[in-house]
Amino acid sequence: MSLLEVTDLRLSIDDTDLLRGISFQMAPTERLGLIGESGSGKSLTALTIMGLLPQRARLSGSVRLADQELTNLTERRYSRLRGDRIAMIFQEPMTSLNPLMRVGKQVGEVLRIHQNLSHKASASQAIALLERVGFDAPAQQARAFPHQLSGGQRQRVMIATAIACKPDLILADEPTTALDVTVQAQVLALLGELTAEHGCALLLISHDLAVVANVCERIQVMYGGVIVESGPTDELLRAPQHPYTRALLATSRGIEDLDRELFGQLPTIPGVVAEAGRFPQGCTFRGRCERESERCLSMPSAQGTQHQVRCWHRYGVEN
Amino acid sequence: MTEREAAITTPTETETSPPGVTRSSPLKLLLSSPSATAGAIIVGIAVIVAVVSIWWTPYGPLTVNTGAEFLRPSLAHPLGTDEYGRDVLSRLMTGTQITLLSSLGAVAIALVVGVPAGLIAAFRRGTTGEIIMRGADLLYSFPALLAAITLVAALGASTLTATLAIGIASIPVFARVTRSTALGVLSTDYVLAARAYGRSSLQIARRHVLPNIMPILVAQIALLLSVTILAVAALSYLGLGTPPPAPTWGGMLESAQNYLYQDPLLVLWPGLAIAVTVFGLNALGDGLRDILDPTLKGRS
Amino acid sequence: MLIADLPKANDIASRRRAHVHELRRFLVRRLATLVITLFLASVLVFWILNILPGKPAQVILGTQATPSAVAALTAKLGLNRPLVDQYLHWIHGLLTLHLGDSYISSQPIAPVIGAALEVTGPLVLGGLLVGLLIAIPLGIASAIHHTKRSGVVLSGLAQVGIAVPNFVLGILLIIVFAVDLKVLPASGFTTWSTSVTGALESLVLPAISLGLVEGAILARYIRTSVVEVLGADFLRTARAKGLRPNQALVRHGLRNASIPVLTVLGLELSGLIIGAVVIEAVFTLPGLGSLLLSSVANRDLITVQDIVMLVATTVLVVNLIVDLLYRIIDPRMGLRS
Repeated sequence: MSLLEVTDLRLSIDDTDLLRGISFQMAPTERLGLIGESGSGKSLTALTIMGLLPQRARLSGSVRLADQELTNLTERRYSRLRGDRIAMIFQEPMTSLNPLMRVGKQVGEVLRIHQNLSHKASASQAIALLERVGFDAPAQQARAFPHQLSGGQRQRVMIATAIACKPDLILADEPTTALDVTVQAQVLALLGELTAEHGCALLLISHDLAVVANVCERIQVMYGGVIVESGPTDELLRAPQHPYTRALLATSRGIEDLDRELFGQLPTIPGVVAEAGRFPQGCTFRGRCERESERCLSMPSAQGTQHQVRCWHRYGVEN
Repeated sequence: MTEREAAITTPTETETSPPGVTRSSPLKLLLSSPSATAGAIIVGIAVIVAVVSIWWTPYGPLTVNTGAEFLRPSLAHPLGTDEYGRDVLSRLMTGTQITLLSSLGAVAIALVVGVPAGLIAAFRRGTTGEIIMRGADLLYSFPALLAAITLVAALGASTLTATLAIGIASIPVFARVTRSTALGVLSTDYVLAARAYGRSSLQIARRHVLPNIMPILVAQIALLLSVTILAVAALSYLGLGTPPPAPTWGGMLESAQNYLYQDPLLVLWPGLAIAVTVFGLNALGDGLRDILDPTLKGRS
Repeated sequence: MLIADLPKANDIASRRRAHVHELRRFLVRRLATLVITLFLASVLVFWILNILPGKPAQVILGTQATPSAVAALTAKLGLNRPLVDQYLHWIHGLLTLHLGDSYISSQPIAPVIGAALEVTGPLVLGGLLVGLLIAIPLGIASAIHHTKRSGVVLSGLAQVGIAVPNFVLGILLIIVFAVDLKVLPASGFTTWSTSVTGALESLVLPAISLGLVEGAILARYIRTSVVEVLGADFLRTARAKGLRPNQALVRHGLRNASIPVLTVLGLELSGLIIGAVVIEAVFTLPGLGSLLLSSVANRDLITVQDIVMLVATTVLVVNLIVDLLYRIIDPRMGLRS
């Protein structure tokens, strides 16, 4: 049985198509990585699951959490799920925390909302949570304001908030992108550790393949509002079948190889990402793809079972 | 390279001229904002009325006509006549001229003193700058109307006194805007580079600072004009501005208030003239600011 | 686990102590600035009113007066002494709350100003109340609906409100409520000792005319501020925690939105105080403004000086308090002016 089941999600804002048929499932406690360039629709996928889309957004398709349909929930009922059963961690820990509220109170708030705890009880729980995410003097640090903390500490506060109610699913949208490289690894490790400890599933969104590869069991690659490839992490890294995934892998590996950078031969994906919603008809990677043909004028369907690919000209497979 | 790094290494040279100001005609830009267009039309009409009134009004604005007091609006007197039988339309037109001249004069005083003061304060951040800005704070804490009343108490009521007082009280507006914008420009990388190359303060002010301040100043002038028009009207209403019998909007209001029971319409015309002009200037100023400085869009 | 990015806890405690210390220093510095500003303002006001042409004695006695009569009155008023002496005498009086005697009536000024404050004080407070009652709901509502047509209508309304000067509004209110409906007095003031309700009735229309315009201006600031907060990341976080949109705005948004509004509230209050001068003229209320204007007309310069200084001091103190307030509300705000 799957925890999360997303079926044929289509989203448009102001007549711009941003998600074009997203379907995937997550098993309980599964760690799924969602990667893609900015504008590929990965953050919107998360916001859709949270039900936090702007009002202008037009949505079709289905999102089910443990067999409960979410897309038709009233705001009141949806708000009871948020923070309690699904939690979300955002990219910018500076702006995502209320600058005028002490961080302990911000962590405790989610407990007061969902578990009806008193101020006192929620405060002491918040301190315990802060300790769990690595603060060395949580009782004092709970009284700090966000601007008094470092970027890494702020993101730890966000993580403490997210795990407070032991949710079934945590959505982490680029949780380490705004952090220093040295801090990134710590925060990622903490996230992985805590989700395992509480048995909650993690949807980790990033544009950085390395981040996702270290934490997740399975990876989905998004491009142009479509999941172009998904599969178990090692298989996808070892034998990518979609031309876009291959190009993405090539660029990440290039960074490790500093020699090449020195000679100006950093591998890049030819062309530029189309503006969000301006993706071509048919296969979304058309125009940048080296294997393009007539067939790509129509959208390829997802092929394969464990390892699914949307491409007419998969690598390593006889088409 | 991550998205953040990409953002950081984006060259900053493009900031020399604010985006949106580049190369399309001023008229087209103005028309792109409905607010600015509406404002410009209203202000344009007011200016035309003021200019026309120098040479022509339907009747003499001071011509007393006994026996024709409190006439209702008619073809002969589109806005009726006042308690002395004077034609209200003619008085309103001449009043436009006095109001606009006085307000423009005040803004000119504030501009001529305020902008250089702000520039100096930005370039000489030591004692000189501190003294200038403290002075601006001092003036700023003094409401324009209070300053005007003080000056009138000393010099007596006249158009010049009112203009002078409002102008002086408005100096800090320009000094502050100029200084803060200039400081922003001065701290950008390309100005630091220009300084490193040995460009003088004056060159930097002319090449980098002024072009960047211009759009903000233009919008600020429109907005300040609306404030000064209100102040000029209030002063003449209080009998501290242009003395009678010269027609002013405020003065007309004041005398009309004595005849509320006979002819409430008399209050309406000057009131409407003030409100519409101020509305037009505000709309123009807000619109201009949105056009010329897109980063401020949405702020009031 | 690695905690390299965590500063030590006593770091935060010492930072808080430093904050309190800074707050104290900030207060001292601001008070010093206030005193200096007031001193300069008093010099300026005194200088303008006493150096510039127009001898008070001549004006008081009229053009027919003999030179000896003018000289006698000048001496009696102490106006023949050196200016520095006159200034020191005046300033000493101000500091010891002896505001001096009126040039015209020879009566002490302080009680007269006190009586005027009984009108102006309630008027300004009433205006502030009206302004806030309009601005807060209007500003928040037009922010929440800012993309919809109703929001555009609301902010258009505010735009119109800003354009109508308070004295024009006052006269219009007189026409409607006093001339036509005859429910409220058109002018004059029933003293508090005569009838409290009477006094309140005579202040209703003035307070509305005063507050409506300031309210419209304030509404625009509130709108901008709330629109900004509505788009803030931390409000999205609040929603993600399970707060409904209105709860999120109330618990997380309004305090944040109030900070930029507070900074203009000081200015708005000065606007109200100075607006009261005009409104008192519209409704012929015997307040500070009327006293100021009649003193100007009578060349009672000492009274003018006193009132101008009183108003300037009030404005400066109000601004200082507002400045302090938002530094207390916003922990990020540095205390270096």
